Amino acid sequence: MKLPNYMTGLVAAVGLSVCAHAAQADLLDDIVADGELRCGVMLDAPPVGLRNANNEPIGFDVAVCMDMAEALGVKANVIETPSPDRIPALLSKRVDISISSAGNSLERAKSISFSIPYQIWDQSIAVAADSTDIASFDDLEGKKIGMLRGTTGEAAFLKQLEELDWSGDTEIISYGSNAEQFLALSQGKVDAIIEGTAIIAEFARGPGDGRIRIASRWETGPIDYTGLMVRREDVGLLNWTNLFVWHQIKNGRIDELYREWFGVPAPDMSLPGSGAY
Amino acid sequence: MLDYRFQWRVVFKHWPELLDAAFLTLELTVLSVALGLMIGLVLSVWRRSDNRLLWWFTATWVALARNTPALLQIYLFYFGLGAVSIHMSSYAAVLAAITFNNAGYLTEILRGGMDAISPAQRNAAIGLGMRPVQVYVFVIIPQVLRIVFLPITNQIVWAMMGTSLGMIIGLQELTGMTTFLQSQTFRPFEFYLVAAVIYLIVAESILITARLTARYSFRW
Repeated sequence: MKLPNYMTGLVAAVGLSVCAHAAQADLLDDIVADGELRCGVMLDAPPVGLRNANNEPIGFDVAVCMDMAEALGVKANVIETPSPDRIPALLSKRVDISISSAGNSLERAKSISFSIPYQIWDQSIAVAADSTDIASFDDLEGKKIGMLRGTTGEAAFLKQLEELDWSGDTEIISYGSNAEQFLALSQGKVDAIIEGTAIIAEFARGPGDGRIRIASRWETGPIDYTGLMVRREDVGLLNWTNLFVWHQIKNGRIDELYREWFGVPAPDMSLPGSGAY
Repeated sequence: MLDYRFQWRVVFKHWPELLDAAFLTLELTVLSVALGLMIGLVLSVWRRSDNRLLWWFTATWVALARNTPALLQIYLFYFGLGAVSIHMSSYAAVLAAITFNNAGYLTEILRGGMDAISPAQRNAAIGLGMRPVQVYVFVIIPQVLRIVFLPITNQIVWAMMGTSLGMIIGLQELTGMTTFLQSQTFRPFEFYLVAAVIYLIVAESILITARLTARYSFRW
């Protein structure tokens, strides 16, 4: 069968317009059109994400999500994604953006895209309140150390261990969440744990009050610059997100959130000498 | 999902770790089923005993093991005993919890098998002058094993899946290792897919081995 010429033209035109539409559609347009921003946030990681007495999500990252939705003029929809679930949720399109204090490693950026940094995390060593034999990182030799599985801290610690000539008694146990990690320390299953300073400080103020304390900052530990995460192909949304974070820093909102949730003023996010963020 | 591009190279790079973790999973499965079977054999005999104390002990074990989540049992062995300063390693806690769980289920499977053996067999064995232990070892248990063999293979696969809960308390078995690797590389679909395939292969090998063993061992 031969199609009349005008039919061929029509089919081609329809085909082209479908392709053109697919190429132009950006998630940013969809979010504005749908009137809803779906943020993936960790709600089991105080102080960046937790639930208040009314079971509503609160925390640093939740506040960033609310601000972002307000700037877009849409409704915020906070979707809980525990730490190991952050990237799968993004890649499977359950969320539009992940606001989950994720360290912006180059390895991770092969899978998803990071915005410019909005937090800086350092790591500390916490011990039981009555422990006296650990005062610095080097005292961890021969001890049992609890880490959180899948964190940049764990990866960095394992790497350092390969180079350090520590005794074979040094043992690392990586737990599934902060709750197990803190419980293990409280019970004495491990001698020390290593986690983000802000997370330990929050626990030491709250449920861990009188049971654990920060022994020392991990001086040689990784300093993580965290970014908001979007899928790599959502370039339009990424550009907007970068400008959004820039504005949050410029108008002092990040500093406000730092004081509210971490209890300290926001650090300078720019890297000295790099001429950029 | 359509625009997700799979990158398998990173999985091959970490293949040795995945394989080690798979062997740990297999080891835990085999050990927990073997130990569970030994305990289950004793418990199933006690379950039919006239001694009220033994009967209650067994009934409590079976009820607790079968009616509480395996995750809770692992927590109890790890953190529950930890609260009274009895410290087990993650490996020991998972092995103990899954063995406890297996023993509960296997007891019921074995008891069902024993109920299926006609009392006449027992009476006949006693009539031949066998002592109670000999009655069980030479007459009842061989027949029971034949009846319960295939149901037990289901339990082996169930135990294998139970070991995956060990990741919560820091055990680097297959699920724990997979979660670790995907969070370092941010390639979740690749690693979870491969882990699923490994689980499938291990489970199928267990089932096939069991069927072949059954075919050759129970020909009488």
